[in-house]
Amino acid sequence: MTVRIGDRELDRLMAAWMDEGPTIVAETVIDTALAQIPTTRRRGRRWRPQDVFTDRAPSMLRYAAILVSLVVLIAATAALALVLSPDPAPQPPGPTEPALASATPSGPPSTATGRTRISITGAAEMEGEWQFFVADASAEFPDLNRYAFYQFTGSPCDCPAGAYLHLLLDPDEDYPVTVRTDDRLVMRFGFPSSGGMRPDEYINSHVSKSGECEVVFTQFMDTVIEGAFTCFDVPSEVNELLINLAGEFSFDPREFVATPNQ
Amino acid sequence: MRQDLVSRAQLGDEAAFAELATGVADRLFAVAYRILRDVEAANDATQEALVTLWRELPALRDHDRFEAWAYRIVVNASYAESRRARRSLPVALAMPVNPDDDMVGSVVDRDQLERGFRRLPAEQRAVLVLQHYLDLSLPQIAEVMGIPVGTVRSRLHYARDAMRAALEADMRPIAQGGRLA
Repeated sequence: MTVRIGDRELDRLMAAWMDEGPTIVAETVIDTALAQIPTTRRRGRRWRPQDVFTDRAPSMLRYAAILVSLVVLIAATAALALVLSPDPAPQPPGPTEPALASATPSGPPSTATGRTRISITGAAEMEGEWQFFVADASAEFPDLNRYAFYQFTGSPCDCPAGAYLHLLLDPDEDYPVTVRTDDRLVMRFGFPSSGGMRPDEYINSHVSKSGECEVVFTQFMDTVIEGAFTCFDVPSEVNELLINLAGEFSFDPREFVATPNQ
Repeated sequence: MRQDLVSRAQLGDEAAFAELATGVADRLFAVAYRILRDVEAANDATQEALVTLWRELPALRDHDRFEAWAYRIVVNASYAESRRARRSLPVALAMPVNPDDDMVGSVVDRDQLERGFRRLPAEQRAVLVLQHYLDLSLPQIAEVMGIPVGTVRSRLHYARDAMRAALEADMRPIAQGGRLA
């Protein structure tokens, strides 16, 4: 029989347990720390340019900085008005366009599209059954149609049965994928409910670069995995994972379980 | 009042810092103890944190954030203490257990919580303490620890899973014995 402790009960237990225990520090601790102070060298205060506008700066410097800022602001306003004024005289496009462009935030960089390729160059430790699943583009779950799932089953990391690793990547991006994992990852995925993380949480937590050409987990046997996503029939484990995700994030996994891409 | 003390201490007023330190030391100690689960180690971490507060105080810009900043320092001191000590801490309860006390359920719960907690890395302990003891929100924890909110969420996720697993591991045989049926 499996006993499941709910979130509220866990919170209650944890909070009550943490409320126990000492809360008063020994006076000798404070005394000893204060005794060290006269001989402790202090860090110098870091200076930042904006400090000239605060009362931390000498008053003359502050006034000078404010004056210079005003002059610059007036000059910039005048220059902008000159550029934007409806002047019938032809203007050479060169000098003005860069100035305007520099004041405008650039848009998102264009992304290359195409199939994501993964070639597996894993080591022997990565033997085992590999299964991939790409969410169908019609999936309604926010973001899931932007991700592909794969998981290890068998014993890629000598994980206990049922432990799995899933990686969530954007299948529309054409980039090689490098995955390095470590034994801490095995520990992390040793928890049965570790598959319940939201994709963005997962990536924020474990991926140092996302949307670029490399996705790196923390090291694990220096194993590098590169490959192309391929769709297979959705295995029951993935189904289960999706159902778990569905419960947490309110989407219906049946849509793209039933219609896997390709 | 607090801001005034911080300002004066920042300028080198040792008396102001002594007052400031005395006011915050208990809270720092309580946090350190709950991360380290050892009074002696928590004392050391608190002492180190107080000295660090004095040393680094001139670099603090926003006086309103003194408390969060102080917590960050004591959390870091606790990490350092945890690494330095590597003491094999006995699994012992710091408080006497009252069998009628339902606050933490039972002695078994306490023991399991203690064991589960001790198995966690210090970083995961810290997020649990900040959440459950100080009642900080995720963004506040992120600020204290100087990490992204996503990382806080992740650490909480794993830490809570581990704690839950520790408790459930204990409940399983009890359930099999029919006591929870």
